[in-house]
Amino acid sequence: MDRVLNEVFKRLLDVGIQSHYSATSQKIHISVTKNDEIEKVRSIIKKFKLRLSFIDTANSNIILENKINESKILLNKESSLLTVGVLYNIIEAEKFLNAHGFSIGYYFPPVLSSTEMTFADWIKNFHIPSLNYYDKDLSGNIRGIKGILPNGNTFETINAPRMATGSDIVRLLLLAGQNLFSPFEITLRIRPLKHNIKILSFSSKRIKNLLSALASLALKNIKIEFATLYTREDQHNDPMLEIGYNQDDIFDFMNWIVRTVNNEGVSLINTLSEYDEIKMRLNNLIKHEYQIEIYAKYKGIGKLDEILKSLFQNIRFNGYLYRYEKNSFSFRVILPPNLYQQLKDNLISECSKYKEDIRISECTEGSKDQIPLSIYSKIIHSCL
Amino acid sequence: MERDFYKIKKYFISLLGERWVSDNTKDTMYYNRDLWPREIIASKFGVFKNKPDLILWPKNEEEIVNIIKIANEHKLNIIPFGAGSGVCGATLPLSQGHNIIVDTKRMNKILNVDYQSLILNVEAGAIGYPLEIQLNNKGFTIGHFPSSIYCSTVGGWLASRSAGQESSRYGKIEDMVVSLRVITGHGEIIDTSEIVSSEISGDLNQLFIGSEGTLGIICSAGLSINYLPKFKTYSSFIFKNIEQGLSAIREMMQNDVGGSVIRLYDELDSYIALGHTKEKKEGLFKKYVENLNGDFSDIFLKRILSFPQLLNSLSQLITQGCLLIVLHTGNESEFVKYCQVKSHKIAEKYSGKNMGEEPAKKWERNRYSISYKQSKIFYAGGFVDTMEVATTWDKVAELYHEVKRVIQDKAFLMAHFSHAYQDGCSIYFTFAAKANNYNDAIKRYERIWKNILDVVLGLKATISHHHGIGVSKLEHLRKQLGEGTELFKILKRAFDPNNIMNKGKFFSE
Repeated sequence: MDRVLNEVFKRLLDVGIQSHYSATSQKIHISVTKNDEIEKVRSIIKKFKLRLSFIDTANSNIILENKINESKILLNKESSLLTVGVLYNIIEAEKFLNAHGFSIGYYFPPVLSSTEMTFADWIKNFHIPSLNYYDKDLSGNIRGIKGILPNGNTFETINAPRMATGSDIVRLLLLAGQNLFSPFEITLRIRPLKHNIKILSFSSKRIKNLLSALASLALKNIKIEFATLYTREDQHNDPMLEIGYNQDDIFDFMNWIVRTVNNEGVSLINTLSEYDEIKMRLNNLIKHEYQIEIYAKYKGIGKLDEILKSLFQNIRFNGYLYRYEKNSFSFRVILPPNLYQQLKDNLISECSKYKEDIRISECTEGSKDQIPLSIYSKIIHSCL
Repeated sequence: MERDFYKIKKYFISLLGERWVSDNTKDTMYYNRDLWPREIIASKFGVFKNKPDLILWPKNEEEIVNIIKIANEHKLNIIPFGAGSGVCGATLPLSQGHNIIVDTKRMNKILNVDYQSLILNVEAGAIGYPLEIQLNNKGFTIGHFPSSIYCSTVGGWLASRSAGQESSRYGKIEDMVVSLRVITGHGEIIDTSEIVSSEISGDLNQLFIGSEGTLGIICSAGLSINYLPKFKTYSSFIFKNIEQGLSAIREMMQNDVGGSVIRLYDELDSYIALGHTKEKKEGLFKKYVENLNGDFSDIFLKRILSFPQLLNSLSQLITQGCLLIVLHTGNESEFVKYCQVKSHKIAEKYSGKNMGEEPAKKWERNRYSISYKQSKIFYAGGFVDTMEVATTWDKVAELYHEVKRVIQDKAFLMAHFSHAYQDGCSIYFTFAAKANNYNDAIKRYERIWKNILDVVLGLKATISHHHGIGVSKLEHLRKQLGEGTELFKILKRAFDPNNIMNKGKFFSE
């Protein structure tokens, strides 16, 4: 292997590819910035029947760092699409879009609050909570993706609103992550920038009532801009549900939302937060280390409430809506560090009684851990 | 070989019972094709091939697991089958070895309806229409209305990434899936509802949806359902041309007022849809185009089909404009009205002439009237087929005109635009042509498909929006995916390592 890698390294240098070879670890690190460099790399590794890796693992010999299309940004106004190099900063892209009357969306606060985050970072952690289920998560918004496969070939999907051309390849690429693919460009569906976003706030003594209120909106397909729900135990205030909607000149959305919300035990209160505060709050909550995610169908709201009530009778806890969808939601509970293990075990035991409707998962970086290992390993093994 | 097969048949009989295993000619003839027009042409000319060896009707998952086990042991080819309404040949037996059709129609039960979370759990063999009616009776709807709703199953919808007529409101089938239970080609049961994270389960669902039986058999699904809408409005407009109509539907979709149904017809398709006007003026021509789906007895009309260029030129004389119909539905009358008013303003902005409710109501009355009925054109030795492609808004009109241009001397062509999104829409082409014998018909049919799909790929649009790939588009899918074909092979290796599922489809050997 040493001799082969040495030869590959020499050839890479000959064609002007920036690379570094470590004979002790038997690894070549390559960095590419242009499309034609990919072609040069491809022809060399093909000759030696080698494969590229995009993450440095024990088995990888040639690790490619992909810096192609760093500054590419292209707006397709007519089709509401943004094509962007994955190393582009998301905040900068959002500013660019805002200047043209568009936005990535109101539904990805952590993405839009992190000044350093690039699209590549977002892809790596693609399951980031959405405040609006209509707009789906990242994988539901990627309309096209372009990148490199381990054999050095570039791959590009067709960019169409919907397709019936087999399994969803973008999902496969995202699930398999860098084991399979290194993207250098994505095309995202974007939204018109809304200038008249208003926020309605509801409070209740019981989380159950607020979750039911949220469910009544989701189940009836009411197009709100975002929803956020959180406890305020530390401030000795009742939990709160905040709904963002776009005020329209003709239709009274506010009245509709208020009428639709199941108002048992829920009161409409003065709005306390601006959208920026909501974003920051969610961003800060997500960063807590000791939290548990409870995934439930709306049918499970009552049971979840009972579980929380019985487990946290004498313990103050903070919790927040992590994401919601049309039929289900996930609620995260931030636990005191010293009681984390005990409470987690109790939660798991209690929720297991209602496993059809409520489930628990640990909140770890990178949701891929949550794929059943047997399925994940099958996919990854097949990639190699 | 024959003795082996006899043994295999015996295994299946012991597993399912004699009644549910068949190799009789009537059954194998019936299951030798779906509604792919190429195979209908073949059957009209008396050409029958690709007969399956056995048809199985399992009643539950356990039986399917055992079928898969036997198939792995004996290297059989398992072809999952719903109701056979596919139009691309996805269920065609292609393998040189033994082809076993597994018809899921006995697995048609509603397993559970969670009315609080609005989730329906249903077995894959349930036929669309009775299922929808059962839900309607309780005040709910799936919201999935393919024109094949009388003759297609939930499993078929999922396997092909089907779309319904109200996709603007409810999405395509892939947007409705909450969970799936799949038995893979390896015999493993994957239940995505057991996965905690809804994002991850969603991603896994999307690997199996559209896989056309090549990774496993979808046994049941959790589908998101909806309250049955109480209010409905009907609107119709005529636009001067396709471009103005497309601008209007784009703006409606981008302003969230596109409604449940939004359909724009080109000049010729509008002519048929509007049928009740100008009857005297263009009687002969009208008679012809209406007969595309009707009674094709006129000898003159049979002959004229041989001159598509002339027909296409005649159609240029139609100056009636392009019809747009929009149906808004919902449970809040004020909101439904608001969407209608806003969509009317948009239509007027693009000089749409208000045609009232009738054209939209007429469409609704006939919404399922064509799918399972075979066009009489086939009996006249001609053929008719449809093609559903999709692209982003900036390329829709160009794609439409370019397809018309390349096909005008080869087939008679019309189109409508019926699945619209914020970022683009699909174009549904209908083409008809005629040939004198089987070889000519097939040659002509394939040339038309090739010409159109070459144009589609040249403009980087997708070759299928909701019919799937089957056999008919496989070669062009290879071109669309390029290196992506390798990705399909990865999935195949992961879930069907012995290649027993629907061989010959999606790049499997």
